Amino acid sequence: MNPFSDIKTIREALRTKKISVQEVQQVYVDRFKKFDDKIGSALEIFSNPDVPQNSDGPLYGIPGLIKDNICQKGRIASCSSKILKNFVAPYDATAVERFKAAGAYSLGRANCDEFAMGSSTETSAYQLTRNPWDLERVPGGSSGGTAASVAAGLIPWSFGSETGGSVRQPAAFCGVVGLKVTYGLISRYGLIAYASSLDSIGICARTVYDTALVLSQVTGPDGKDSTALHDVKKIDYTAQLTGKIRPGMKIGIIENAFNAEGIDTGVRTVLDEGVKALEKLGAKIQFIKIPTMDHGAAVYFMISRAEAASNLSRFDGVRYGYRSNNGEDLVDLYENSRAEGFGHEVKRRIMIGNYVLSAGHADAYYKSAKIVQELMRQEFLDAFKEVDLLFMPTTPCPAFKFGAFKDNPLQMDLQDYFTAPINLAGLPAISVPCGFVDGMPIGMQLIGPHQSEELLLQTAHAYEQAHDWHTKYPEWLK
Amino acid sequence: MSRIKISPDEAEKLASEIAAVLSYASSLQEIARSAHVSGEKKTCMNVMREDVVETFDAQLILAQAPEREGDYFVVPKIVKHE
Repeated sequence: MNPFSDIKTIREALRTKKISVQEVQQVYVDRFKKFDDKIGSALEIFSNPDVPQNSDGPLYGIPGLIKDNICQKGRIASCSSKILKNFVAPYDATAVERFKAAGAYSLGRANCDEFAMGSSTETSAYQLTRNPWDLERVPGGSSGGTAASVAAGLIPWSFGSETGGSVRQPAAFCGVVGLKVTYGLISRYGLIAYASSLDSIGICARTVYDTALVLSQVTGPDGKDSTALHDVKKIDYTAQLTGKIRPGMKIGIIENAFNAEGIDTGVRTVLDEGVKALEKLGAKIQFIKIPTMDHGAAVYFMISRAEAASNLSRFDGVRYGYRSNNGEDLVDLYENSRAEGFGHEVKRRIMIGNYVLSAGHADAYYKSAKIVQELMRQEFLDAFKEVDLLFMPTTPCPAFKFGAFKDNPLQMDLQDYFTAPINLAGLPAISVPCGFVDGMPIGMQLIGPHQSEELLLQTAHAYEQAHDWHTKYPEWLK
Repeated sequence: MSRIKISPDEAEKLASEIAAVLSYASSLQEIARSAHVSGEKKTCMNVMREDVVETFDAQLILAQAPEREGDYFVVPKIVKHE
């Protein structure tokens, strides 16, 4: 079996009994053994995965890799942090429960930035994940293990999570499809919180079809997450994937993003080709401005850090997780456990969050950010009165080298420019491979109005099928 | 406030990094002041449901405690002796 097969192909081989579920499992377990010491995408490959015995579920026998901040019952969920090193999830996340019910299973845990905070997976307390296309480069982040494992043909699909672009950016850097859904389309129950008003579980796969296949099984209302959309019907997201785009489709290029300073010229050329290709498929192209997007990263920094400070206050060394042995009283226990358990990036974000929420500063920072967030959301909604989908780069550059932003963390944070505004507006977006610059994959980003996943996937699929980017993989991983 | 002990070296590094982020975000106040945003988002609503009792095995949760005594979490003394 070709490990780079898409789920559609594997599923057909399973259905016609050309291959067994156990054989599929073995193929990917062997792939991890053979290649993952070089890539480092997985924190753990289960020796005893919960492989379904029999199922008529649509994902029967298809293994996935789950980001380490998503709870899998009886498994460690460490968020790639020392503070949760030994934390065993007492329940399945709703999305995990759902893919299991559809016959799929998890083969292990994907490495990520600590508590999903980062754009390169370098903040993981455990290991680096390397970009399968060039081991000297980062896979992106925070869902670096998610994207790298799929790109390397170690797994057919993988769950990541998004707060400001953490699925789309690594998907673009690694040359796979990355989907961020409408806020609330997939339940957040069991996704360990970073910034709850922005967080969502996302999917990486080799093709748009595969992404749609997995998505179809994991959406829907959830009594355990009151922010999960309650009016969502179960949809087969593959039904619209005809290879054609909807007649009369209008796509708006976000002009200020497309012409933003600092976009790599190679990336720009590849994206220009992408626009032409969409036009060739029948889309009408027009330019749209989302002026407040230029402040999107700043808004994102304020809101995400504020929510993180609040969410991460629960890690105190008392009930679970890491406890420091230093200190004498309870306050020492809190302060030392957190000092020794959290990495630098997480500490930095918690402190920023507490600062911007503190009396005397909340108006200037947090509340201002909430107002600009609302302005931005409104600009996006206005844009969708004129066009069906929006278009812009996923990243300004190809995957960068390790340590590139070591001395300038703010520049690293600005990786979020093209992605975070979408989380702030709660919109769905997809990153699709659209070419290469110097041997590194590039992603283009399509964005839709709330709950437009069908249209988004249909359009991305039509583009994908007109090209062969999704069939490419690094030679050494054959 | 963050309940994280930091060393003087760490404090210096964090101070300059945090200052850079805050300065980057300082433009937001100006934009927000001149903005006309009409109150709360109308799309938000409460989602209510009846409570459903679900039981967890308490031992499963307690087993994760760094230190316990029976069914209790153990913490260091809370009051300092003078």
